[in-house]
Amino acid sequence: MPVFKLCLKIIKKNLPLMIMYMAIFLVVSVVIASANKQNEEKATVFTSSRTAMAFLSEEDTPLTRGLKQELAKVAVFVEIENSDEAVKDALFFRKVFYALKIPEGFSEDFMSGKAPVLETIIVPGTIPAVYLEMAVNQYLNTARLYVDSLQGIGQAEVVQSVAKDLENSSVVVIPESDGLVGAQNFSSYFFNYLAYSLLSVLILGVSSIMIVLKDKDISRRNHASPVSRNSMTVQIFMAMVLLTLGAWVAMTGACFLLNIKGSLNVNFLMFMLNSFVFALAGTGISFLIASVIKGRNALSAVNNVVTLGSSFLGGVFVPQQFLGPAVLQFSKFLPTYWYVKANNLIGFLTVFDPEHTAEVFKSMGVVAAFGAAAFAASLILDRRGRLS
Amino acid sequence: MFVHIFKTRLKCLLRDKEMLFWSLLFPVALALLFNIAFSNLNAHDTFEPVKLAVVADESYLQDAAFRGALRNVSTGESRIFDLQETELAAARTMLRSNDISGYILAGDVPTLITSGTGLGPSIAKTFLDSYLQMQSSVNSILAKDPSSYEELMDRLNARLSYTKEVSPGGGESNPVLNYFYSLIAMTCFYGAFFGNREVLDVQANLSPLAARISVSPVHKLKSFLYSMCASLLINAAEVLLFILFLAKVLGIDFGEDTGLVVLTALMGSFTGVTFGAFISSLVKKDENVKIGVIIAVSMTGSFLAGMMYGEMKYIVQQNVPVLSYLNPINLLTDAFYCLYYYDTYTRYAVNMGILATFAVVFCLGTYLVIRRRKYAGI
Amino acid sequence: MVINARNLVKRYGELTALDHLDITVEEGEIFGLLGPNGSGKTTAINCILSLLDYDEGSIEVFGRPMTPENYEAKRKIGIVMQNVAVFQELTVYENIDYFCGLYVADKTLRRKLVNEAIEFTGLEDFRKFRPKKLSGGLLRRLNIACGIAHKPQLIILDEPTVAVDPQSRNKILEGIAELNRNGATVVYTSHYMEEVEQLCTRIMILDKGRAIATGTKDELKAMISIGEKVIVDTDVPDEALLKALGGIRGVSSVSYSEGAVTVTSGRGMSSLEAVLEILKKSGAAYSRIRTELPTLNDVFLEITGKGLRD
Repeated sequence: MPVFKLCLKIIKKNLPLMIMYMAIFLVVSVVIASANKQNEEKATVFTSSRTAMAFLSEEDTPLTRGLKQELAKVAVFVEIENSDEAVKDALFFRKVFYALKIPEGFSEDFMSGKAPVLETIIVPGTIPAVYLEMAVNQYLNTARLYVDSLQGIGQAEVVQSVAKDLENSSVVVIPESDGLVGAQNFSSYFFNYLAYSLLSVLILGVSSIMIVLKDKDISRRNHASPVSRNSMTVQIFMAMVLLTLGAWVAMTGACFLLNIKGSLNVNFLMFMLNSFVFALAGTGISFLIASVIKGRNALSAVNNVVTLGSSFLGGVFVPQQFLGPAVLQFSKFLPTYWYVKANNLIGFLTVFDPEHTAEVFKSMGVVAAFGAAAFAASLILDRRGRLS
Repeated sequence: MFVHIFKTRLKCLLRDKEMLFWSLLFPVALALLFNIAFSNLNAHDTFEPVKLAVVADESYLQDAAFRGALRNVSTGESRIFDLQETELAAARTMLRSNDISGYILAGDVPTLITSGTGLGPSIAKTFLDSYLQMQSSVNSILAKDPSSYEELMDRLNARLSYTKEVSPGGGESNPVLNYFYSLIAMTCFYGAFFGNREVLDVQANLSPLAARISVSPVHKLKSFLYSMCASLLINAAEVLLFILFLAKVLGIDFGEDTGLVVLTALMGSFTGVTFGAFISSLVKKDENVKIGVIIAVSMTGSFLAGMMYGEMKYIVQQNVPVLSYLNPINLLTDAFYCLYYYDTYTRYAVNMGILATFAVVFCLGTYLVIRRRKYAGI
Repeated sequence: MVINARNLVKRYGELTALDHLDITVEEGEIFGLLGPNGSGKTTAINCILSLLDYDEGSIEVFGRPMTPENYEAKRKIGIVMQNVAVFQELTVYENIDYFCGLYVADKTLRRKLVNEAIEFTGLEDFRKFRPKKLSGGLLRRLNIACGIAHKPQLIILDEPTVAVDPQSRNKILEGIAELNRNGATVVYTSHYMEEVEQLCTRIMILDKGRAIATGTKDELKAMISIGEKVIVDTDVPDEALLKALGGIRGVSSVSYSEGAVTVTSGRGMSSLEAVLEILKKSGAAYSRIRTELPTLNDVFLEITGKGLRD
């Protein structure tokens, strides 16, 4: 296995570089996964965390005080200056996610049966702000019922009644289950981002080896040796697989260690299996890219397009349910799509019988097929290269 | 001499077709993909009704008001729930196999049984709370004035929206834009590959070509500067072409100050190219490692500036504010965003100021290394 | 004096690459630096060109101290480096034009010079070729053309013929001799003693950073104790024959290896006739007899105890 050994030597020489890449992308995965997990938690009403908002009131009446008190259940108030510039800055730096402006004379208008409108400024895409918005409307709509129905009712009485009404809440029961609960699991996010990090590390790693091997003189000498071309390709591929295994073990191992409690279940094993299939497919793809692209600088550009592009379209960075149907139709031609799809399914699995896991294994199969196709393509390209 | 070296360098760079093609194509391709991926994100038409079941037991069948309210929000185009009325056992099975987000047990206080705390269960809980609260209001109003029942029912259904979203002066806040701005910043920093090559070709201990040029009767710094100009020109042209593509083809909004957008792009390109020269001078290893460091730094910078995950920029700003000022890619991204978002220029000036400082540091660092004209070893 | 380097010392940590080396090159000569790989030839050249820092000593070129800023001297020097240094993206013509342009600003003059260099190196058919498409020998010729196009007064060639086929090599050597006839002073480094012997008017033999001998090739050969060698291709000879050969007057040694007996005489002695006579007398069968004069390798061997190409 002389070529295999040569590859190992090249890998060894490039090890510091690869460890650097791996560390960076690992950190990227961990940071995004935890940030996303926090975000997802914030996006529910079950959370105890409250959203930062600015309550910019130009008047101080029982009604505005009552509203502020009610909002205090779901928000923390941040004092900022009541000016466009200050509000914009605060929103820009995420000091507040929601600003509510109450103009002078609002309470009077409201009590006299008019429907005054309050201006709000929101950091777009902030789900918790939606709950704040709902709370404001729920409060004022409830107050409106009293004002409209009971003639001559005073502000103080309205505020008191509304406060009592809004104390009612329903009961939620979350039964125990054998699998993970919901998608907001760290592993689920981590493994999704792995599609980006692992593929990046593989393409960078595989291509730095291939650049050495493809050096015109070395490749000529190799091909003049009594090792058949196919055997050589297989040997190179074996070395790549070894590299892949290393990267895969390091990265999934990190996830396990970071979240041991959440990893001791069947779901984690499924995540592992899924990412393993993806890693092998990634080797095939990296191999194909490295055999098509020649320049070292060009390679990193291609790497960017392939990893970032497939991650965005495959649902790594933008969740698949937010991609339009037309986009998803196209995404089905990307292995990343199937990998993420399988991950998302695994995240929700609580029963592990064939009926429930069939879809997961089907997706894994598609990913594997992509990998095999890429490998076959690079073999064919290699033969073409010999003829010309 | 300037024309001679500059022209030759330009020729060399333009003939490296693969590099030229990819360094221009990669941001364009990524921008297209971003555009596709985000096309649905801003058009809020992706709300999927929450799949929910309600157990059709005694108390549910008797509570006509609750049933009515629940059915009301589960019909029509803009329904909130896809509701199924079933047996308890069936509801349990569906929940276990994730066919529904949860199921409701009616009663004095309705109960939601759910598998998690995600968005679906949240919406279901909000609905139940709001129903209970309204019920409480109705009860207390009727206690005081029983005659108002008919009107009250009408009013219940006529909920008003008391809030209106507005935006202060300048552009509207749009997180998607940040992805494109950070992509421009990354393209600028892709110029680092050019800067790297310039140093490789001038440091006699790094390449035979540089050694050969060093023994010619041309001042080393001059020949470096002349050929650096060619690199700067190519990278700046690429960045400007890319911005033109974003603005004209994808319709990305850059605000009103076209002049300043161009200035920012030129500044970014300059910082990017000099960054590459700086790294190449600083890292005393082979080309592989130099390029590795360039890739690592620019990818990390882009990540922290929010290119892969938009929120990242704000996470950094909130938790480690210093880092957002030490990351030139973030400064550049932010400068573009400021031009779009604010109608004032303080923040923009701060970004550009720090960016200029970086450029100066990169130039100075490169100068300190390459001013050396004799080497300890070749 | 074109080059006057005195007492050069260059150390790389523990290793002393140049050990108190003096090099003087007179106008009009072809000065050869001969030595095995790693003997300090390239280091010496790089010091003279002011590319490398040195620990001790002084260097003057064209009578002025050599520094990186001595553009007047640099302008008169043409350098052909050991490693081919050309732009991969430029054609043969453009490469030569670029390097020539660093010395000669005038475009018309430059066009003439570049065309002359192309003709001189025989690259007429390859003007528009990129370096990638050139064979090793052609690439070396391009490397030379880039170094000499501006008609320098001093041409320094650092192993210009490494990895070059014999035909190209001869062409290169002839070219260098011609440059010299046209008035250029030449410094030529090589580890091929045949080249140096054939080309150089004065030779310095380097080993471990020290000059172990300097002079014309005849002067060098005169330094050593051996003279003519007689080599007889034959089957394994008997002891008596070897003894008889060893008994010839003036013979310093007799040895047998790989089917040939070598009879080495002392300086200024010839033994051919005596050898023939003994062979005839003994009736031993032999297929061929030839004589060899001492080479620079013998000089090197005798001074250092090892061969040039070890």
